[in-house]
Amino acid sequence: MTDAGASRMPTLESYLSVLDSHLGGLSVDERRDILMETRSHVSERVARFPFPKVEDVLEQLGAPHVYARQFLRDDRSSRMTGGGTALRGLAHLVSRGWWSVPLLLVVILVYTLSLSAFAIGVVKLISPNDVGVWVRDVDGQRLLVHAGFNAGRGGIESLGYKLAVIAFAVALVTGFAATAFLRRLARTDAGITHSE
Amino acid sequence: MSSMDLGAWKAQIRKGAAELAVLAMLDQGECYGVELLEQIHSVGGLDLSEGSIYPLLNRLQKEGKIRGRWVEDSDATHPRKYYRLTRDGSKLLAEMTAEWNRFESGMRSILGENVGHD
Repeated sequence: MTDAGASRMPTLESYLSVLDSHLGGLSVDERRDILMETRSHVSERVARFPFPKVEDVLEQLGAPHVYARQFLRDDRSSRMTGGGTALRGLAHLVSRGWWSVPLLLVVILVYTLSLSAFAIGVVKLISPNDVGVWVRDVDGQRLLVHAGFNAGRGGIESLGYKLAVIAFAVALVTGFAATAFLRRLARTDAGITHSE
Repeated sequence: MSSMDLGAWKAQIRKGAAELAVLAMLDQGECYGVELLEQIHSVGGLDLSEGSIYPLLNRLQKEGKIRGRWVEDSDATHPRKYYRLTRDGSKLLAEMTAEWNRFESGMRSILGENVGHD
């Protein structure tokens, strides 16, 4: 590195320091990557025709807090796009006409199943005797009396708190499955539209 | 339209086109930020600023459309981050290109019709 280049470095270092302080909210790895790339960009530009000064390259990037804001804004927009895809998939399904009605019903059914399973899990934890699977021993065999909410038909509740675990697992799996399906639908949305 | 409105309108158009341009250039091979900027500036019209390209690359990478890797080239004193398209990125590029062509052809036919009335 030339002496002139070395004397410019404090400017770059102070820029990177301010930039780093405004990148809060991003992961450590991402911040490190942004700082490395900014440093790399400045080094690349000053080494190329018309050989601008470091200060000029930094000016082109913009004030560090403004430059940082662009990364943060894109981060938010990226997360919002990711979070909104399931809703977009649902909107897409609703807008596709009569042929998508069965699919829409399946999605609604799966979400209902997920919510119901979650509700069963919660009720089981709050009031264990109100929901479960009741069985009765008859001649050494276990016969099912009733499954669901306590109907007062007697018998022994056989699953206990295992029912809550099973219910939460079913709620998670079905909820994720329906959301993944809607997200996939949202991602292929553009492709379907083009082929029309 | 006032000059300020025109400026905002141009910025909107360029913002949307910049993403397609970056994906299309990466489709031709791996590139690092300054290379991409030089290619874009050599074409003209897009006017993607130095302060905009890295946030754009960062977002595309987080969305899984492109992948970056640091390389220590022998002709440089600093590491460079090279980007390439992922399979998702190629798919997005194909979709965006089709949409762009549809948009361009629609606009061309509208503007073409209006030329005669000016």
